[in-house]
Amino acid sequence: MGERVTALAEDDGKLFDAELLKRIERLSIVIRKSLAGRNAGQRRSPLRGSSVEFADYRNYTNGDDFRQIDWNAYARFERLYLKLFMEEQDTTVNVFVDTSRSMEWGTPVKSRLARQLGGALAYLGLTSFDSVGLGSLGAGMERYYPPVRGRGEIRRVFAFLEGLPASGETDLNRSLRDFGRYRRGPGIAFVISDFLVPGGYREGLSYLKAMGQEVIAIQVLSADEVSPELAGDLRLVDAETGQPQDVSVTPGLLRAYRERLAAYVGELEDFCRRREMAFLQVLSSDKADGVVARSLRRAGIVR
Amino acid sequence: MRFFSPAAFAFATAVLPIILLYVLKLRRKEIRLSSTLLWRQLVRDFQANAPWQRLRRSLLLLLQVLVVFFLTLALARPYILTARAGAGDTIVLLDLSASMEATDVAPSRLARAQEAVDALITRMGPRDTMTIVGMGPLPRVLISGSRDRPALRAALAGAHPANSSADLGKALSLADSMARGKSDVRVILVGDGGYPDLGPDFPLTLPVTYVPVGGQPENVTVTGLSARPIGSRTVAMVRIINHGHRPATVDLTLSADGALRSARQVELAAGEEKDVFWDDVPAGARVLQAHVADTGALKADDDAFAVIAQDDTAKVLLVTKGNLFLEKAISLYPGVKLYKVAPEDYRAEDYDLYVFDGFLPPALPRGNLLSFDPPVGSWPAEVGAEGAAGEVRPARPDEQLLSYVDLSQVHVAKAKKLAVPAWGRAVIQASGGPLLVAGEDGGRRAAVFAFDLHQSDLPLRTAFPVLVQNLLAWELPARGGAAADEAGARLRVNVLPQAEEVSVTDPAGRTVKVAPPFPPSPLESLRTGVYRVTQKWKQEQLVSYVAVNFPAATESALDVPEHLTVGLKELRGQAKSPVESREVWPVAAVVALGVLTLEWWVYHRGS
Repeated sequence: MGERVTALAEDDGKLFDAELLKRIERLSIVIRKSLAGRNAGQRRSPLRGSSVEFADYRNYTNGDDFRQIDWNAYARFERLYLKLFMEEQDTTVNVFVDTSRSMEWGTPVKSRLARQLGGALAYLGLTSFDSVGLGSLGAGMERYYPPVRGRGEIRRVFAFLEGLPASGETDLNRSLRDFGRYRRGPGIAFVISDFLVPGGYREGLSYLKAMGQEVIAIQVLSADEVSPELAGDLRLVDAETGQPQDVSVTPGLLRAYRERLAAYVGELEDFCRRREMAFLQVLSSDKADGVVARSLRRAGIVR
Repeated sequence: MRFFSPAAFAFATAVLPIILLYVLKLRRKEIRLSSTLLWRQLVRDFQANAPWQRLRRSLLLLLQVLVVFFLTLALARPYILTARAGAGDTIVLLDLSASMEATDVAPSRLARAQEAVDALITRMGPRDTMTIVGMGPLPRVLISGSRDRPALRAALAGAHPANSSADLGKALSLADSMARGKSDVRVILVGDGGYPDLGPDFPLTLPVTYVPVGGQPENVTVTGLSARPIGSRTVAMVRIINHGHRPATVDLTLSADGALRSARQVELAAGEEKDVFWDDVPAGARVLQAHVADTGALKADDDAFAVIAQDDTAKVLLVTKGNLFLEKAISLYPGVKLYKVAPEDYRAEDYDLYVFDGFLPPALPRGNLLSFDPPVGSWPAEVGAEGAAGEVRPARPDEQLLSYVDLSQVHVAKAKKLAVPAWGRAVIQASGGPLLVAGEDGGRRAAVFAFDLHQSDLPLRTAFPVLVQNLLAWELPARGGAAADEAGARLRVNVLPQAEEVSVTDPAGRTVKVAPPFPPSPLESLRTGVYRVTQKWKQEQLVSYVAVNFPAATESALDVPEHLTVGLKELRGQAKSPVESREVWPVAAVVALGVLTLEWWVYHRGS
């Protein structure tokens, strides 16, 4: 299996290489709270079931399954208790990658790292016997790769990520709402984007949360976005909208820009923290394996 | 403000592209960015203080235009005319000649000159020094190298003109020696011109600024009063000159020994000079005074004085083989008793003057000498072989012995080679050598002609009797008297050998004892009028008179020349006090730099 993946990585060249996969193979995605899935899997489900692992007792109420009454406890306390067991269930890992034109920016381009991360996370999901679904974030969710299970799918998942076209604007809110048309219910959602979206991100992320998804926001920025090297009188043209903006760049303005960016990112981080979403910021120049093995691990997203 | 290179104003067109850029706004460089979201938010924030932005923009434009303005100004090299101050050492030559008393400019030329110098003192820089030299017959340092303004002003106020002419050459030489070893010394000559020509060889090394004082006034002067007793009568002659630019009618009076004798009205055209004669001067009168009632600018030259020669005949011995011209010419001189001998009969006796014609005794007699055509190799001058004389001209322009002598018609066929002796000077010069040398050798006055009068047409010219009169006047000074002089010169007293005490009383009545000790101390005659010389010995005394006259030749012509010629340089008069052009471009450049810095600061602070 591992050899197949290596071969695949070699076939595709740059985007996903064998090294990356080898490094992250031993990791798995951490679920902070138990997720309810459809199929029995390795993950604990919040639905108490018939697994062997004891979970808890609770008082009997009308309508409960007699079979789950703990008769030993009744003999001791003369009260009816239900014996609850953990049910092992799978979960759905959703990976959303921003494919707008703004991601085709930076050295190296942000979309490269975004797709690599998407691929790596999908790989982790598949190796943990979770179902993994993918979606593109553009003007809407134009591409959707329905959840699949098993390592055998990894090749097609990578092909899907590589084949995502980079075009158009980003409307995070609309894209994430579109996701609701394909799937409902809880899961894990990785949203990989630069989050530099005119329409905002709050509505979309809140929507995922409301769906019961555990949201992990990964912001990919390029170095020249963090500290742009501009000077003079310029006409800045938006890569997505083509909208021009005249600025006379001075050291003072650059300082103000950096403050502005920090505030923007801080706002995003603050938003995530308040809604129990994980947030991670990476630079497009970071290595994907490093991000997964160190940054995501440190953030407690993988282990 | 004036400009050395006004063409540089073309640089001001550099403003046009700047304004053009502002009008057209700048063409911005297009840069594509992943997202302009944050930039747009930024600009929105900044638009809150848009008025300041717009103001800053126009402020920047204004500052840039100002930079161009001041740069242009600096390039055009502006200068301002300032009274030269802060320029080191100044030597002021203040004309104190008699003509400075002229009142053609109120209150007087000297007062005006003092005002001009005062203005220079006012404009002196803190480290400048000034030296004031009064220009009289001798230059006199009134104050030297002073920074002290009150002291300078006091010295200036103490300057009084003398009744004499000013010697510019001596003053410039003094200034030159004072300036030696110093740099940046300038000389300012404040005066009315009318200085004797210094000749083309005069070395002028210092920068001299000539500040003329005075105008072109009217003035009638009386000059050259002389009197001779002829027989029982005394004849007086006076020359009267109108130096003005309009005809003048003046009253001329003649006084003898202080009593008015005669008055006449004289009409003079502009620039005309007339000789006026009196033949009714009373016998026995000693001092004559001519006065012209002149309303012109100068009062001091309205009087002329003369002392009538005393009745003391001089004995003159003429040693000649026969020279009618000479005999006649000498006998014309009043108060001369002429004796004549042939050379072989010559015997030295007690004569006042010996005239040797073509002969010179081996041993010279006591007494003054006049020698014509001396034998080759004899004294008093080294006499060489005869040769062609060539063109005849005066050796010096101001030779007293040649006054009123016109040499232009005189020709000399053959003359002997004369060397000018150490004690004498050439009087008449020809291309072949000096024709007449004269001088004083150990109390003996001698004049030597290099040619025989028969080898020349000189005796046929009017110049001859005049020249002989001049020579005799010089060789036969009034006994016990003094030479008549121009004011300012030293009074020369002819002291008798037996005199034991000599005193001089000036026209104002002040008596000064000049001897003993002998020789008498020199006395400057700064007043015009008659000086009384009293010589006493044992129980006797001799009183003689010396007339000192206004130096009319140089001082009465009051017209102030517009420029002076000193050596080969021409000094153009500067009516106002001297100014210099001071370049101020560094100021403009510094201001431009300052505005540029300000612009930079505004640009950065405003962003």
